[in-house]
Amino acid sequence: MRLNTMMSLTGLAVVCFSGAPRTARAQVLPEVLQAQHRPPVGIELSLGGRADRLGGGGFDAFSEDRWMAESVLAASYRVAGSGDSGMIVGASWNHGSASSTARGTETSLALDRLSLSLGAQRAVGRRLTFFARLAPGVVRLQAGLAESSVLNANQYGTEITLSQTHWALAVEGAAGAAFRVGELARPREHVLALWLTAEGGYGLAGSTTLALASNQGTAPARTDAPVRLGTVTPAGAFMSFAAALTF
Amino acid sequence: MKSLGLCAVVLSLSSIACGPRPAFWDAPTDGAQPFALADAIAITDPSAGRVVLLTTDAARQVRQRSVPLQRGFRAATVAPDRSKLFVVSAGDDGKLPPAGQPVQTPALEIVTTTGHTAYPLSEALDGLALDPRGQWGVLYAGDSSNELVSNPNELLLVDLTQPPSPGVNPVSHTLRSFGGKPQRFTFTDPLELPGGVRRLLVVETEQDVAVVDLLHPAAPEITIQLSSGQDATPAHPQAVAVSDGDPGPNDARIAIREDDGNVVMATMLPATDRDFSPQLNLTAVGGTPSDMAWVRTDAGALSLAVMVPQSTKAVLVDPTTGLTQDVALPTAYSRLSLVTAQSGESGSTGLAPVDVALLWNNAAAGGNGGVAFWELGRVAGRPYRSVETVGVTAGVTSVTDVGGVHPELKILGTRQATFFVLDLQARTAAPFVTATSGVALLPSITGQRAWAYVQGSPLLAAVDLVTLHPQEMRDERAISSLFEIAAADDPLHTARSLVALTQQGTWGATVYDAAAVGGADDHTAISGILLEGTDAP
Repeated sequence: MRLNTMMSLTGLAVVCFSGAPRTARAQVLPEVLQAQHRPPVGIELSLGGRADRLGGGGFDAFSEDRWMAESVLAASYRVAGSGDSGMIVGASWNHGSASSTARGTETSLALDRLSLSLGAQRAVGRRLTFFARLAPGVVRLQAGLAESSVLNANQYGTEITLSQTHWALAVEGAAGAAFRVGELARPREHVLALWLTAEGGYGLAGSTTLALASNQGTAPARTDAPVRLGTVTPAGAFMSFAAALTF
Repeated sequence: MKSLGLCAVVLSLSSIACGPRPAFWDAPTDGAQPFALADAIAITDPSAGRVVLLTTDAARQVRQRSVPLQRGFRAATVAPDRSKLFVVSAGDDGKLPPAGQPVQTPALEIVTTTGHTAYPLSEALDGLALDPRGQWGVLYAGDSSNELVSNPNELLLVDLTQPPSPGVNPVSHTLRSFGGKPQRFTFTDPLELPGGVRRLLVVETEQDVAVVDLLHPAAPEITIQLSSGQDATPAHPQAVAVSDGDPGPNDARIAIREDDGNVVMATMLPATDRDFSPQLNLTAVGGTPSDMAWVRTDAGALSLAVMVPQSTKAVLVDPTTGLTQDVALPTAYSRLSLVTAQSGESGSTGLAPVDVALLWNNAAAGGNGGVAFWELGRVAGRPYRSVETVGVTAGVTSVTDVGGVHPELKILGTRQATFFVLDLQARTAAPFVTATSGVALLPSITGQRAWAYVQGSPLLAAVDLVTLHPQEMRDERAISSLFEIAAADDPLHTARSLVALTQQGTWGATVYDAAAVGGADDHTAISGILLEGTDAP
C-alpha cells in the first residue's frame, strides 16, 4: 500500500511541476490532471505448491505418509463482474511426484493434473478476497518400479523396469482466501498486484488398480504378468498455497 | 518445481497426524523361503507375516494369494505328500503385541490351497517332525530356539486328524532324560504289538532311544539306554529301522544302529506292567555300521541287513538268534535301499518274498562311488554272487526316486559333471554328461521326465525318461529353484506347470507348460512376487 501511495503522489507532483510554466505563460488557471490507471484486465497468474492426500492402499508403495507434494501453475480470467466480485474461469496444471522403497525396491509415482476451473470471488476490503471454484479435468498417474526380478534387469540397477500409466477424469472443489501483499501501479498502466493465496478442497477422480508391466519389451513366446500393487485413487483432500499476480 | 517449504511443513504435520504406512512395505524379503506343494508354490514371507501361494492353471495363468500368518514365525515344512505347509509360530510369546492388536499365542498353522487351520500350542517351539502317514506331528525345542529357558525333552504331539482341543490335542509329553535331548523322530507304521495294533514314535537322543505309544501319547515312554556291551561307555544311536515281523504279535522289532560297531534289536514282547516291553539283543557287526534295513532273505526269513564299509562287507543278522552272516562286497558300499517292488522281481528263489537291495556309496561322505544290486535270495551258500555291480564309477552323492509311471527308475547324482538314470529292472545305468558339476536334478512326480538345472544359471534341461533324450533350453533369468506343480484348475492333475523361481529383488518366476517344454517354449513371466500387497486383487 505504501508503494501504491508513493507512486500516485509522484505522478501528481510530476503533473503539477510540468504544468507550472504553461500557466505562467498563458495566464490560465492551472489544470490539475491526475494520472489514471488503466482498468484491470482481470487476469491472474499463480505459482505455488499443493499437498494431496491420495487414497487407496496401493499408494503406500510409493509414499510413507500418503501425501503427495505437487507444484501448481494456474491462470485465470475474470469473465464477469469487477475486482470486488466476479466470476472467473481458468486453467491449471499440477505436477507432483512421490518416491519411496517398497520392500527394498525403488518406487516412484508421478501425477499430472490438467483442469479447467469456474469460480467466483468476493473482495472484503482492499486486501482480502475470498473465492471458491469448481475444476473438472483429467489426471495422469505414472507409476514405476526399479524391480530387479524383471527379465533382463540389472539386479544392481535403479532404472525403472515396471511401469504403468493411468488417465482418469477428475473434478475438484475448493475454497480459499487471497491476501493482497502489494501492488505496482504506473500511470496509464495496469495495476500489478501480488497476492498470497491459500485454499483447501476435495477432489474426486477415477481410481485405478495398479498393475505394473515390464517395459523390457515383448518376446514372441512370452506373456508378462503384471505386478499388482492395489488401488490408487488420485483424489481426496488437498491444500495449496500460492503466490499470484493479478493485473 | 518441487514442493515449497510451506508444503513440506504441512506434509510433515499431516504425516504425523495420519501415521506411517503399513509395515509390509518396509519388511525385508531376506527370510522368504519357497516350498513346493502338489498344486502350488508356497513362499513363507516371515517379515511380512504371511505365506504367498502361487498357483497356475492349464493356460499358465498365475494366481497369487496371500495367507496371513501369526506373528513370530519359527519354522516351516511341507507334508511328505506335499499336500500341506506346516508353519510353527511363537505368536507374541512374552512380548507386547503391536498397538491395537490382540495377543497371539504360539500355534502350528496348516496352510493349503483351499484353507488355513491352526492348532494352538502351549509352548513356543521351533522344531517340527511329521508323520509320513500324515496323522501325527511332533513339536520340540530345536537348536534355533531363542527362549530364555526351554526343555528340549518337552514334546507336543499333535493328532492332525483331530481338531484342536486344549489339553487333549496337542498333548504334552516330556521325555524322561538321562542327559540326552531329541535328535531324530521316527513314526512307525501300524505294528502288531502284544496290546493290539498301534503306532509308535521312536525318539533318538544323543545317547538313548525313547519309544512313545501313540495310542496313549501322554503315557510314560520306554527308554532304551545304549552302551557298548563291554563296559558302561555310552553308545550313540545313529538310526533306527522298524519291522512288524510276521503276522501276529510278539515279533515287532526296532533295530538301533550304534556308532560303536553294534546294533541293538528291541523285540516287543508282552509285559506285566504295560502292554509291551522291549527285549534287547546287542549284536556286534565287526565295524561301524553305516546303514541298515530289515530284509527278507531265503524263504522269506527276516534279517537285519547292516552295511559295514570299514570291512567292505554287509552283515545279515538273525533277529531271533542274533547270529550274523557276512556277505563280502566288491567295494565298500555304505548305503542300502530296498528296491524290491521297483525292480520288478521278488528275488530269485521260490515263492517266498525275497528282497532286492540297491547298494551305493555316499560320495558326499567320502565314499568312492559305485552301485550294486544285492539279491538277498541268493545269500545262502553263494553270498558273493548275490551282488551284481552296475557300471557307475563316479562317486554317487544322491539317489533320487523317480516314481510316477516309472518307479523302476532312480536318478544318481554324482560329484562329477555326470549323473545317471538307473533302471532297476533292466539293471542299466544311463550316463548323462553335464556342462558343469553341481547340476540339480528334479524328477517329475509323473515319472515321465526329469529336470536338470544349475542354481544361479539360466540353463535348464528336460530329460525324457522314456527315450532318455535331453532337451536343453535357456530361461531368461537366473534360476534359484525349480518346481513342477499341478495346474489348479485340473482336478486330474494331468496339466502341470514348470516354475523356475528367481530370488532376486522381490522374486520373479517363469511358468512353462511342463509337458511342452522343449517343444513350444511359451511361458509366462511374473515379477515382484513378494511385492504384491495383501490388498492386491
